[in-house]
Amino acid sequence: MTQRYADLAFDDRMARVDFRVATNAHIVVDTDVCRSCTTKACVHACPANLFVPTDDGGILFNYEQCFECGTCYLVCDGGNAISWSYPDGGQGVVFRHG
Amino acid sequence: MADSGSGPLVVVAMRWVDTHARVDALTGRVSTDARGAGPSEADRCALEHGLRIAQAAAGRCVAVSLAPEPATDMLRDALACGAHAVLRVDPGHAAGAGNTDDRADSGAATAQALAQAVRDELGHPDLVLTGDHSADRGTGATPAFLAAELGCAQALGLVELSYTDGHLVGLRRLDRGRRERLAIPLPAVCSVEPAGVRLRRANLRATLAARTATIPVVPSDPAALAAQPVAVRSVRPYRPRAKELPPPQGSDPRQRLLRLTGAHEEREPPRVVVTDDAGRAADELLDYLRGKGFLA
Ligand code: SF4
Ligand code: SF4
Repeated sequence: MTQRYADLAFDDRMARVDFRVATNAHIVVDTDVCRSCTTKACVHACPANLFVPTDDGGILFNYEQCFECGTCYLVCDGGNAISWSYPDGGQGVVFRHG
Repeated sequence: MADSGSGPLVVVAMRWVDTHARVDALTGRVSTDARGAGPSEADRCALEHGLRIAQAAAGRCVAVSLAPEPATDMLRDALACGAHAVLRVDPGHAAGAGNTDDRADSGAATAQALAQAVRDELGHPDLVLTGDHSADRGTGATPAFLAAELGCAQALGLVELSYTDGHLVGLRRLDRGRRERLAIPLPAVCSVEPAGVRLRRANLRATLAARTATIPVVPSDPAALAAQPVAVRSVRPYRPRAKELPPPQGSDPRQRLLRLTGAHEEREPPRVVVTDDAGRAADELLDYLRGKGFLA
């Protein structure tokens, strides 16, 4: 059965989230492609605020608190700027129900 | 038992607190001393209101406290000021109960024990008066719990209270300097702020008489004080609920996400300017503010 969380505050939901940071980055951003990107859609769309524009027009990316939602991959305007895969088994985002 | 033929029964519930408690700045530990303890200013105002209302209504004013033995002096003072009777409800008699301080912290348990003792010893009160909240860790919840226990109306945090021609009228402070005037039906529980009236001084004869008066003590209802106090399970700042957004239309996942996040709409891509030149940085900021319409 699908459980709904509509009446749970976002921060409360986030308080139940753990991140097991894998050594291998599951998302790699090609900052050379980003330099020519005019929209920087990822900066706005990533719910975890993991994309930060740099002064040389590129992108600084940190995968440590990634929800693995895939939003960045889908909205990216740079074609193949983002290489996306899931973290290794047992790593990544963990949602505690209890 | 209350003399039901002699007008309304006004009960003033007073909390015995150390109004000069010391706090250890290093550990935060609070230490109290019975010698400096007594009623809070709000409770003293409640007693004065009780005395006035009982006099105006030709009723009886009884001061009641759920407190240990050292609180007897506070009740003697109430007698000296003109209370018709007093009653101490001893929290120490609760069977199997732990620290009485902890139980007294629970407004629900305090109200339950007080209401039980008042009903058993005095009958059903027409009016119960208290301070708006106790001076030690008071939340102001006890009067509301009392009203629930006694099944009567409540008017809390009053700055004025008067009884004329059989009508009880209160005035309550609202936000932004407004006031609310309340016609309070009896029976009722009213809590008052320490404002408007001051407790009268007892005369010498009454003070001497009160010194030797017998202060009735009843054990608190064990069931009431055995009730679990409210447990704080977690403390955190208020957080509003997540805003629910209507789902975006269309079936293309990319378009749906772009619409949902607004990544392409009504927004400029972020721009970072790094410079060591303070003048240029200031120009950048001013241009930005001008562009946003904040500067002419
Ligand atoms: S997958 Fe989601 S959370 Fe992770 S970086 Fe992309 S947009 Fe952010
Ligand atoms: S949208 Fe894609 S190309 Fe553009 S900055 Fe973000 S990751 Fe780089």
